[in-house]
Amino acid sequence: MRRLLMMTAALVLAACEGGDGTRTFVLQHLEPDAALALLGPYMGEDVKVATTKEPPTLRVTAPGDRLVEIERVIEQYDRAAPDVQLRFQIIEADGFTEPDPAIADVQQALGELFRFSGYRLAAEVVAQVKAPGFVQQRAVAGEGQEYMIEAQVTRVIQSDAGHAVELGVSLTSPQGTILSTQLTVPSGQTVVVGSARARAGANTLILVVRPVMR
Amino acid sequence: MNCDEARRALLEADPAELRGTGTGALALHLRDCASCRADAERILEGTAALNTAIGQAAAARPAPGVPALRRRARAARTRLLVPLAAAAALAVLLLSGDVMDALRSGDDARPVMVQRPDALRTPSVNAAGGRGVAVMRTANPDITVVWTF
Repeated sequence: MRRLLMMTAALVLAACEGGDGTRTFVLQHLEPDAALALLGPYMGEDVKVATTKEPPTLRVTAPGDRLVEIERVIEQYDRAAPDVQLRFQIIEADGFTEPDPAIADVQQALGELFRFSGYRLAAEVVAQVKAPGFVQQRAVAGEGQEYMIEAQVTRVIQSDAGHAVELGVSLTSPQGTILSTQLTVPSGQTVVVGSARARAGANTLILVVRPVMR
Repeated sequence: MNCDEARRALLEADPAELRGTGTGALALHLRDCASCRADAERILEGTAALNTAIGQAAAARPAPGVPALRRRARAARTRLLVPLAAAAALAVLLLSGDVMDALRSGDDARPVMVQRPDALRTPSVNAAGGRGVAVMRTANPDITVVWTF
């Protein structure tokens, strides 16, 4: 209801000022500069924005429809940064005959797609990061093999349609980078990342990523 | 080359190898193994379907002055949101180097974003340039497999 009223108000303002409306957004969590950056794609000759740092505000003059879009963007991103819990599992493929109950669900999914002869959990870590943020976690496998997992959470997406986390993840060993990719993962879902570029003389490594927004 | 080796090689093979042409180990294996040949054909079909989808997305790209959300999408990084088959079905779509090139083709050479309405419900991958990526749904709706090659 409140949103509807605000949209209506913006449209009325637009009608009253020859097609352009002006609105002042008081930011609750975003810095004005950050909000301005978010609005980059909406800027144009017909959009004027002034900012104040104290209190943090954006004063936007724009055509009515553009103003509604800008309001939607601010509403979507001007929220407290949520905590994101990241659960990582490093899985070794090939050469394991016993099923590993710790990775039963992932093992079943991989079994549908690949013909590796078994999988086992090499290491598991859980990290907490506030979005946007970076986390680096060391993981040690059973044989003492060390790995480093890095995750850069670039942003979280919160909307009525759902929540998702945008992040870059990488898995490295002292010998170099094993996996690296950018993902957008809905909160609570699991992405299993692997590579066809095998490591010389070593088993294929698979990284399981599961972000959960708190 | 045995079937296990062939399955892995399929993920890195170029279209010609997938068709079984040439004298490479994979091509020779595909000519003799109906099972692996069927897998290769699925990959080729998936790539063709994806090429078509990307072509349609490129044709539907907005002209200047369209809503800002679309302009924002055009400015985004290369993002490969692979349209997937029905939820229960397993879909395997592979992006080869050719498809990556297709993504970059067009008048302004900007990446094309294929936006799905369920982007917040299904994982997606932002692939690095020059690399292929396969996004594979599994029978478990909460698990998606991403394979780079």
